[in-house]
Order: sequence, then C-alpha cells, then structure tokens
Amino acid sequence: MKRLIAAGILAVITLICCISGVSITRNCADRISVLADECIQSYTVSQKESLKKAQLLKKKIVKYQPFLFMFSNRETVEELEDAVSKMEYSIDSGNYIQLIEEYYNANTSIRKLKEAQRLSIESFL
Amino acid sequence: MITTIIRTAILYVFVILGIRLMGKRQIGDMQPSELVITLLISEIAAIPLQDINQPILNGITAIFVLVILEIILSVLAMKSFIVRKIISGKSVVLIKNGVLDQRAMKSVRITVLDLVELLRSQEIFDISTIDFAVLEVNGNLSVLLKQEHQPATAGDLNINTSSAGLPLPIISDGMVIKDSLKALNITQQKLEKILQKNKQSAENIFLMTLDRYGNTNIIEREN
Repeated sequence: MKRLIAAGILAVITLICCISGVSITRNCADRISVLADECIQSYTVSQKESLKKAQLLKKKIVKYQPFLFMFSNRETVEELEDAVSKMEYSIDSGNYIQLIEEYYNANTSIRKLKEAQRLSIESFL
Repeated sequence: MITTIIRTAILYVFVILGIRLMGKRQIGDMQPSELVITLLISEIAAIPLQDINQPILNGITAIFVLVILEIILSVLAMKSFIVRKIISGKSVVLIKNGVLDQRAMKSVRITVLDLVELLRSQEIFDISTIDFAVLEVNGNLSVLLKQEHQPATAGDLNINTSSAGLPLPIISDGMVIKDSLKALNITQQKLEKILQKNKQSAENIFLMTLDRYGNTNIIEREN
C-alpha cells in the first residue's frame, strides 16, 4: 500500500512536470514568435523600431532561457538565441536578406521547441 | 565540470529513489520484468549524464514513469494470477518422481547438461533421488528430494529443540541500535546492566549481539 501511495505521488509529480513543461515551453515559444514577427513587420516601417523590438526579443529570450533549458533541448534554445542575436545585428547593419535568413532560423528553432512538446502520434512514435 | 557533478548527484538521488521504491531485491531474485526495468533505468540515467544538452528533467521523468509502471504492475500481479502469469511466466516442473520431463525442458530451452549442472550446484548427483525439480520464474531450480533421500531432521529423530531466536546487533561501533532494543523489548537500563555484568561500556564495543534469551556475543573495539 505504501508503495502504491508513493507511485501515486510520483505520478502526480510527473504529470505536473509534464504539463508545466509543455505549457511553459509553448508560452515562451509563442511570445518569442510574436516578437520576432513584429520585428520583421516593423523593419519595413522603421528600422529603429525594429531594432528596439529585436533588443526586447533578446531580453525576453534571456529571461525565458532558464525555463526553456529545464524542459527543452539546450542546443535548440542556444540556436534560437544565436539567431535572435544575428537578427539584431542584421537590423543594425541594415542587411535585410540576413535578417530574413535569421528570422527563418529563429522560427525553425521555435518550431523545434514546440514540436518537442506537442502531443501527436508522430512525436510518440 | 561543476554542472556535470551536480547533474550526476541529482540523477544519483533519483535513481536510488526509484530503485528503492521498486523494492529491495538482489539481481538473482528479480523477475524478468524487474531486471529489464532496472537495466532501463540505468540506461536512461546515463543519457542526460553523457549529453549535457538533454534536460535532466527528461531523464528523471522517464525514470519515474518506469518506476510507476513497475509498481502498478507488481501490485496488479499480486492481485491477479493472470497478470502474474503474463508478466513473470510460471514455474515449470522439470523432474517428476525421478523422471525428466523432456517436453517441459524443451519449452524452457534447457539442456540436460544445464540441468545436471544446476543439480550439482545443489549437491544432487543422482536424478533418480529427486521427487520434484521446479524451474522457478527467476531461473532458480527448486528441488524436493524423495522422502528416503532427505536428510534427517530433529523432528524425524524426535529430538526436542527450542528456537534460539534471532540474535540482533545491539551495539555497532559503539552506538546503541535502538530499533534492536525495541525488537527485543529491552530497555536502555537493562542493556546497561548487561554491559556492567560483562564489565563493558558501549563505547568500547565494536559489535554486540543479543537474542531473546539474553545470550550475548561481544566483540571489543580494537585500539
């Protein structure tokens, strides 16, 4: 009986970990994705505004990093951070092609993070 | 480097916790499913240790899930004979009344030489002396000798014996083990009296055992 109770407690802890892992990763990824989109959209209007958004995006990533490291592959998070840093640099240097390229890379990393937490037959198998 | 040390320590704690929750058994006594789960836990624990990019929580979650499944299965196996049969299989009688059951041997894929070797390890050299030999689910061979070949017991010889009781360690390395005192229903004062009678003090004792009849065995601490 004692062991069954222990198994129950473990099951609850595991479930909480899984649910919080999925929700934290999705929330962080969504927020980063929205900011990255805003960054690209504002570039055509104002380069300065776009740079501000890129800086904000980088700050957000630094803020979310500890949570993302806990639940996701560290390499993917680092790739995302790298892409965002390069986005900031591209805006600053006015290199639109590189900006689009890094935006694409950042989106790929965001997709990877989300897919790792997605509940689907593909991910199960 | 420090990260690796801390990650290893965290995983160590969780692996020990997992194995303890699964229950205390030696490898030789494990059911096949328990052995597989134990090996899997060690494999899973190694992944976040080797790859620092893998979150440690993934490994811990996987270990927890395996432990939960193992506990649930073991509880189900205790409650249901069918579940037990599916998970652990069933014992097979290999020798009945001194005769080898060749079909049973084929079904468990054991050769005569393997069987003879197992019997020899139990100091049985003549199959005809065996009443029953059963291959247990954990791979051990249990043997019941025919009545006429079984060693005589005190009961067979009508000798009255009384159980000496289990001698428990009371003092280990100068420290009194309170659980043992409780098990033997002995107070601290009574223990001190026993020590005085033996002209000893707890600090000078390396090991002291005591049974329920008050028989003591004292090994003094070496200087």
